[in-house]
Amino acid sequence: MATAPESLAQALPGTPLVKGAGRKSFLKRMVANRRTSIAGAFLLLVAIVAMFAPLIAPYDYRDIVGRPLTSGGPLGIDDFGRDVLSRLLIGLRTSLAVALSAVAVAGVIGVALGLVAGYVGRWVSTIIMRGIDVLLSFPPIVLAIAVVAILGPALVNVVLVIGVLYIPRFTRIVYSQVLSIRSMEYVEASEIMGTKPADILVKTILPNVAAPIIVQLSLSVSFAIQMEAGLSFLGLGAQPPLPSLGTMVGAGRDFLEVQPTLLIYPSVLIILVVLALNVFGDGMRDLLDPRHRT
Amino acid sequence: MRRFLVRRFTQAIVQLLLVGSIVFFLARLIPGDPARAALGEAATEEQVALTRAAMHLDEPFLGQFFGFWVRLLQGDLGTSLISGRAVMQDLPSRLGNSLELVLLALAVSLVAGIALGRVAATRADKPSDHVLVAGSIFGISLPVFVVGTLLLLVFAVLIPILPPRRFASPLDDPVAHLQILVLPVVTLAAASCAVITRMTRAAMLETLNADYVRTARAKGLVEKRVIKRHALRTAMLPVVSMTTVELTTLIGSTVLVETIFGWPGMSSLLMNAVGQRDYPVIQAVVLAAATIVILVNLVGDLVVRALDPRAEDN
Amino acid sequence: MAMMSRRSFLAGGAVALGTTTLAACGNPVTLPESMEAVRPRPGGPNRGGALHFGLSTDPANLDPHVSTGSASDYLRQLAYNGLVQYDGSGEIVADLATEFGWTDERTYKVRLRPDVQFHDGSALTTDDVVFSFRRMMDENTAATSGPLLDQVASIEAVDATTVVFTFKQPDVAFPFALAAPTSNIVSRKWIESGANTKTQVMGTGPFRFVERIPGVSTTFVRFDDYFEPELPYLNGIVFQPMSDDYARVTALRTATVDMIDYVPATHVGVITGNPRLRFASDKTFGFGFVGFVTSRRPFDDVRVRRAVAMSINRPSVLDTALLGNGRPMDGALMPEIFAPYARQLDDSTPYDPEQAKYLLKQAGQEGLTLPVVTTSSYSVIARPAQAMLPGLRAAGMNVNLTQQEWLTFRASVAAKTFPVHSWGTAPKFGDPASLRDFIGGTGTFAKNLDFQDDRIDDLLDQGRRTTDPALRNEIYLEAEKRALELVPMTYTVRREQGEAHYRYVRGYEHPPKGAWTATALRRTWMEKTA
Repeated sequence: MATAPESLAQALPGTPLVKGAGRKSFLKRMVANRRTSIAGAFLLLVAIVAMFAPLIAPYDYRDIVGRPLTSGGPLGIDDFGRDVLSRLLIGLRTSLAVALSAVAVAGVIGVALGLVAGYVGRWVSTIIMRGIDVLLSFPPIVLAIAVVAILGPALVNVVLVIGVLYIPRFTRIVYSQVLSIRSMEYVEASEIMGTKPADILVKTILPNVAAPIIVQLSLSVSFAIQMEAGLSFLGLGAQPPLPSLGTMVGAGRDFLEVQPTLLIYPSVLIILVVLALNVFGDGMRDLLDPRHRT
Repeated sequence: MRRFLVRRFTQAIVQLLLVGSIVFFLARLIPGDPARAALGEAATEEQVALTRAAMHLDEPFLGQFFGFWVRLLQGDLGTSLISGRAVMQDLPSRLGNSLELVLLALAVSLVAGIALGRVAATRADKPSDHVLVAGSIFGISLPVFVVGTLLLLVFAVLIPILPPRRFASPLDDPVAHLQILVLPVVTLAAASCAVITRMTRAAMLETLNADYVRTARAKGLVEKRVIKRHALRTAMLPVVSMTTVELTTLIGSTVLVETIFGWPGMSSLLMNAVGQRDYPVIQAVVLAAATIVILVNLVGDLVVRALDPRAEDN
Repeated sequence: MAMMSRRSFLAGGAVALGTTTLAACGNPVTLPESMEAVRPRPGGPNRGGALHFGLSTDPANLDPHVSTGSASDYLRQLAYNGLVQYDGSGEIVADLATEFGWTDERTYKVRLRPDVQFHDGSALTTDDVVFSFRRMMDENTAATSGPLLDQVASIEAVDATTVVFTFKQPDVAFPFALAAPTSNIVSRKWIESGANTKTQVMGTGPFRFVERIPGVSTTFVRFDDYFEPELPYLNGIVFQPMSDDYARVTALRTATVDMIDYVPATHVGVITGNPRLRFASDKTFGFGFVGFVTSRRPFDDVRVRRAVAMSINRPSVLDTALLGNGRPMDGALMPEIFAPYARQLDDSTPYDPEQAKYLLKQAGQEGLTLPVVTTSSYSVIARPAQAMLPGLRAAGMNVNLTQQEWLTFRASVAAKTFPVHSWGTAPKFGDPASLRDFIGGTGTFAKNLDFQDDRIDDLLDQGRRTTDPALRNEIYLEAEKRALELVPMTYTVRREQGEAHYRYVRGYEHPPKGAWTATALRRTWMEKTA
């Protein structure tokens, strides 16, 4: 990033993405970046914990294991008499599953639409971008309530709703980035050289818009975690007794003065996961960006 | 420029037609109906049907649909099925209250977010950058209703320096009005400020390393001037397009903020209407919100064109 | 500097837009400062002041005869009067009537107060009374009190101040029908002039309706010509809808409002722990139940229904869902305060997951999957539904709980989309005759269950026309016993429900029996303002 050497050669327009040749392997460079690797390791740990949550959890997350709102167990007992640690683990698993799938839906569709709209232009971009505008101009809560009410409050539908709601975030950013680099010399060069449009999109343009996409990805995961919480708040998200971090935060609100940890633990977990996602996202961007390679 | 505007206005109208039509059908697809809302638990199915008829909801779907558009074109937004009030009686003031909240929150987050993002980018990897990045992540991670609840608990209940008060109109009591604005605006601005900080930082870092900025540096321009003339300017592109997205997010978040702080805005009108399946109100509020979003996008596009001459050929 | 100016243009534009919208703000009705002032009176109730009331729902219908829940009754009872009303202890006392009672088994006579005025200045006549009851008895009105008046054969004005009801058969429940918050007297002239009764309000009550702004406020001011000369003490009452439990409680704690209804079980502790607040509640009316669509397999098998009933750990549901604020219900639906037999039915539905497993096995339904629907809109309904899950699992059942928004939930229940639902409500009035809504063939809640039992219907009919208290007690005991055997629904917990207010709000009472009623607001006064 800012530490990159500013040699005249690299400042020349159209520095293309070149692979291999005398560069350290991707993994080695990643490990060399301590912050990224710590965040990555944490996320890996979180992923493993989430995957094996039912095996790790000391109790069944649905069972009554003690007096409600007491300090029994490793992290206390919730208002329904259930073990907070076990619910945190399962909640983490639910939230991650929903958020990642929703963002995957949004990212794939959104980026594809943005690339096509930005590159093809003309009426294709008009249709896509105006469609995105229609989607954006809907109050999301109305869309969410309507769609979940019609389809039923299954987690799959929640993933769908959040995914669709987040498409514009990706399309917009990719679109504006594509616009600003489409006329750049290296793209024009590829066009002149007769490269197929699809190849130009994927091989030349995509890597150059990757940075904001990665930032947006990590941001969206955290937003998706919250969106799911908001939907649960309205009874549209994870159905009890299945917890998600969002529903746990929402439920903890009522006991803020009696047992604040019910709100604090899931909040801290959300913050940690999001923090790691962001740090990791930044690191990945630096590593992936062709112009940042050393 | 004029051709551009004409085209965008045509698009805007098509968009509104689409939004209006979608919301008309979507609202009616939600299970439960306004007749049931108006009658309570004890009503029989026959009585519900009677009330539906009195609300003209038993008329052919398409007739209702075209009736809605015909009235709308005549400037009639309809009458609430529940309160019996003309939608125009409530919508403008509620819209005003929400916009006040949203625009103040946006102004706060833009000013703070761009400034902080710039600081973070120019001091990348220094302690102040780390603090800002961590702070912005904190802002992004906490759900709106948690931020609002915590602020309310701390500043209104435990240390009552900003007690929530009964709504005071800015004309009657401007000081009280500003006072009650603080907590909802801060709650609303927290997340978007964090997003804009991050976007600004990322986009600026990107452009600081971009080729033409390097060229500018190579040409011997002073760093400060490089930042101002080139980096910040180009970095504003994604920030502007992000701002329009952020604005719609803010409008969405007002639902929770208005609920927590009892703010008499558009979202509380909408949520009430959705809860009672008050179709004319749902349609009017969604259309109003859509109009705002479309206008915002139009302005956003104009700003992008002003900032980036390369976007002109679109 | 070009960039700077563009940026400030953006921010400035936003601020400029903000200020232009300020001017356009029309806002909630606020009462003039002079109305908020309290005029102290030594020894007696103070005059003046406006009560700010945080209400759990924004009533969808202001019709004098159609209730959409107890919150809407609060508003109704300020502007309208019935012939009789419940006092603070839940006894039936006069309202628009001066004398009232049975003259024989099938005749009920009411003498009206003289000099009662409507808010429009016109005088109340017996014609208005007759009109009001005919309106309630008209199916098209969908009046909440309609089903309670089904034994009335005729209603006549015999002279300028006397109204006589005659009956098809004796009806012990009739006084409760008269006292119901939805049995209000309206102006015939006003209704026939085409007034929109859903949105306009015009009665004889102590407060006049000013305006309802959806989701923001509903405002009432003092009616100066109210027939009780001293009343009301307050200058006005402003209701602010606050559906979010936390927001409502916080508004009270920060004195944004003086009083709230529907104190959530999760916040009772915070309120009773505050010496400046008073919690006025009952453990009589509100209760939770699980209903079965008795025509749907496998719930047409009573063994399956009983197995579910026996798998609900009621003390645990009370402890967790309501944090102990209520009572478990393992016997009668009616509480002993107005149903003397109730204690005899205690322990009819013990928690016994082993027995439940055995019953399921007998019915060939081991490991039964139970699709249950409930509503997320009210914590008093959603929380018990969640709290009963561990018990059901202990009996080997697999529960799929679906939470729906209120109206969606009610549509699902009416359409019987789910074979099982978990709901919460209250008997309409404090007498076993109100059992009909739940277990009677035409009952509001029984219809959702496809439940009808000739024996129970017969007993309920007998009960309504039997005047001898001991005999009534026997009849309703048998009806409830049979309902406990047939299990169309199983009761879970009685919840403590009530209002909370600052101690400077005086004269408010929450009756322990009779019905949920807010007529005490007519007599409420304030020591001081917040």
